[in-house]
Amino acid sequence: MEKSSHPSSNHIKKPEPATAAACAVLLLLLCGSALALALSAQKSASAAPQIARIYQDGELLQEIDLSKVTERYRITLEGEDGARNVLQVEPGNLYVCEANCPDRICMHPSLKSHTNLPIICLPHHLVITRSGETADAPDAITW
Amino acid sequence: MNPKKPNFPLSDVNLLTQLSLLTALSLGIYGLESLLPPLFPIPGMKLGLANIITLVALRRYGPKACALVLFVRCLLAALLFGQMLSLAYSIAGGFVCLLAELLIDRLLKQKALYLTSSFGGLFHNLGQLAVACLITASAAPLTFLPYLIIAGILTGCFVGLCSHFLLRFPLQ
Repeated sequence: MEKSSHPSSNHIKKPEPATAAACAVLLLLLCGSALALALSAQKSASAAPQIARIYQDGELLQEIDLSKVTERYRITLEGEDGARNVLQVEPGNLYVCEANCPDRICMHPSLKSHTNLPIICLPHHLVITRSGETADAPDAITW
Repeated sequence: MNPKKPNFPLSDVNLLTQLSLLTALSLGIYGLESLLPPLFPIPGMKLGLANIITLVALRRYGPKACALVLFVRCLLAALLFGQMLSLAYSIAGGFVCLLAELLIDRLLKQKALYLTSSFGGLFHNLGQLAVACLITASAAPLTFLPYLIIAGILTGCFVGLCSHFLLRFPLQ
């Protein structure tokens, strides 16, 4: 690229302040996010999900107390234009076992075990949260 | 300095052809990438390899041409591979990303493309996350914020390095 006007080209090139600042911002963001993840993992490690809440377009469709589920059963959610998600409800857990959305992210196998992650089916505007709180706790979504 | 940054609008057939070629390439990469199964259960987390071409367009032809390539790619991708809904994400993500990249590129005096692209990836994911929150009318997608920040920076860095090496080859 272009030659710098500084005569000190035989020294080790110092990074420009803007470049250094950009690197610092990125590193800070990376570390901060990693820390946030580690903290949230620690927090949710002990808690088995108790309450599952199913939202579509921001409206609460169903609230299931997973600690009271004794038998496995399925729920079929039908949306507009043939949108379909089938939920498998189990004692202490809930996940999407069948869906006809294009990306199938909502039925990703790791969602069965990572119970603190919300299940989101963007094409069908569906959000399922599984929290360790009891039923009367506030519906806070934290990270 | 780029020796000849061509003028807009596209009365130049040569330029038009080159941009169309880039758009087609980017669309092809996008299509191939969408065939890969999702690694993580997080909407919006992907490599974004199609943006290698967007960055090449940015460096070779300037911001306007880049925006055009990006817009046509998003539109065609939504028509071919997805539904119109995914257009909202790609347009929001893409243009937030492009604005951030232009700004950072100016701050960094167009040197470190991988840094520019890291910021681009970051803002792309933030933009998509905002649209996801709007569409689901819920704050639940914000749970993925730390994941998406990390993924955006890393994939952006990778994409930036790819286009950096790609730009060493002359187009003709």
